[in-house]
Amino acid sequence: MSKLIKYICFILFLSIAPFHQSFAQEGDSVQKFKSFKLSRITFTGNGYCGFDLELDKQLTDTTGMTSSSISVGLAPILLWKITPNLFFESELDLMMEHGMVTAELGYANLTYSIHKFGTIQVGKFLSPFGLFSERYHPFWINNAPNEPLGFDHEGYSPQSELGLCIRNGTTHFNYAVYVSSSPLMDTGADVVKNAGKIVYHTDFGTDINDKIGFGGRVGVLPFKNSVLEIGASYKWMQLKLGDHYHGGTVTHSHSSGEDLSALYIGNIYAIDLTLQKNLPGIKGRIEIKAQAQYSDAGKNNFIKLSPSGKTEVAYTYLNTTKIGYVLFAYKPVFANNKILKKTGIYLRGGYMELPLGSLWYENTQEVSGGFNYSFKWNNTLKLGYQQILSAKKSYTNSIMIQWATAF
Amino acid sequence: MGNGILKNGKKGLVAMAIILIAFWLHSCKTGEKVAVEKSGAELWSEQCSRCHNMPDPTTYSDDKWETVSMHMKVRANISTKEIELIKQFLQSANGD
Repeated sequence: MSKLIKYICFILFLSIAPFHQSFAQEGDSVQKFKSFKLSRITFTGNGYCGFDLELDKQLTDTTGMTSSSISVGLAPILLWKITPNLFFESELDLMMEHGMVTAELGYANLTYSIHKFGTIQVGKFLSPFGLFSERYHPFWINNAPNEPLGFDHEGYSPQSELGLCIRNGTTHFNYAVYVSSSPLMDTGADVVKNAGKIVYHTDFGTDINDKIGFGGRVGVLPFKNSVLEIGASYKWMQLKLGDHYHGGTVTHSHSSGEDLSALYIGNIYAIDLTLQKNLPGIKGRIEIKAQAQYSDAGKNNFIKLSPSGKTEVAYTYLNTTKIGYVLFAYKPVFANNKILKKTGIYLRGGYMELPLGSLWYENTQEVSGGFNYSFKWNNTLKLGYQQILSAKKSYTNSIMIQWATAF
Repeated sequence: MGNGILKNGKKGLVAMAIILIAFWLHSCKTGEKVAVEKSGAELWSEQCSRCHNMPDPTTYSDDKWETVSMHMKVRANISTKEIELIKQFLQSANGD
C-alpha cells in the first residue's frame, strides 16, 4: 500500500511542478486578492418541485394501480474564490420524496488552479464519469423532469467521489483523472434483495470504503465551435462488502455461509456524446445527449432464504449492469413569436439491464417525451410522459409536471 | 489476492500518470491558441450552451461572476484563457 501512496504522490508532483511559474504570471492578481472581500463568497443553488402520476399495469391484465407523488428539492450552493487560484465549492442536497426528507452533501471540495496547467481538486466532488452525473443532473439543466433509467440518485452510475482529481481543458480536448475511495458492495443484510448492488452514492462525505479506486474521463471536441463532444470514461474499484448508513459503515455477519471479507474488483466503462447545434433553417436549436455504460464486478456469492423460508441457500451470479440513454431536444430559439421561442420539446429512450440471477434483476426500457417552457434562462416548467416496459411483462405509464429553477 | 490487487492498482496508476503527462503536455501546447481567436461573447454562447441555457449577464455583479466563472471552469473543463474571456464579457455586459 505504501507503494500506491508513492505513486499518488508522483502524480501529484507532476501537477504541482509548474506552481512557481503560475505564481509569477499571476502576481498582479494576487495583489488584488490580498484583502478579504465578502462579495467573493457567492450563495447560489437550484431547486425543483414536481408532481408524478403513475399507472402500473400488467400487459395481460386490464386493471391497474395508480399512485401519485410530489417531490421537492433544494440544493443551496456556496462558492468562494479565496485567492485567484484557490477556490472552494459545496452543495447541500435537500430532497423530499414519498414523504421522506433527506439531506446529503452533494459535494464539498477545494480546488487549486495552476494557470493553464489545469486544476487539482481535493474533497468530495461530482464523478467525472460520463456527463450526466457531473453536468446534466440538475433539473434546471435536465430537459426531462426525471433522470434516465439507472441514472437516478440510488442508481447504477457513479455520482460523487471522495478523493483527489486533476483536470484540464482546451478548445478541443479535456480530461479528468482521479484517485478516490471505492464504493461498497451491499451485503443484503439489511434488504436481502439488494445483495451485490454497488453503492455509488456517499452521504456526508463519509469514507465508506478504505480501499482506493481510480478513474477518469477524456473528452474530445473535434469542431472549433464546440458543437460536438465525445467522451470515454473508466473507473476501477475495490469493492468491500458492507452496508452503509448515515455516519458510518456496518458489516453484518447474518449468515454463516457468506464471506464478508471478500473483496471484489469492479470495472465500469462509459461512452458519452453531446451534440448541440443552431439550425436557423428550422428556426431552432437541436440537442442530442447520449451515454452508455457497462459495469462488471465479477462473480458474486450470496445467501438467500429458500422458497420455504426455513433454510438458507447459496447463489452465485455474474454482477454486470448495462444502462444507457439517448435524448433529443429541439428549441425554436430563432422563432419570431416571443412565446414560441421560449418553448422546447424532448424525446428520450433508455435501457437498464441488471444482473440476471441477482435478486435485484431487472430488464427494462423507457420511452419518454415532453414539452418545456422557459420563463427565463434559469426557470423552466416541464410536462413529461414516460412509459417503462419491463421484461416481466408489466409497464408503468407516468405523467410528470415539474418546475425547476436556478438562482 | 491482495498482491494481485496491488499489482493491478500499480499498473492503473502508472497508466494514469502516463496519460496525464500526455494530456498535460498537449494542453500546454494548444490551450491558448484557439481561444484568443474568439471573443468573450462568442465563447459565452458556445461554452455555456454546451450544458444549459445561456445565463443573463445581469444575473450577477462583477465579483459574483469572478466566483461563478471559476465554478464553471472546473465543472465544464473550460480552459483558463477561454473562461477569462467569458468572464470579462459577462462583467462588461452586466451594467455593474
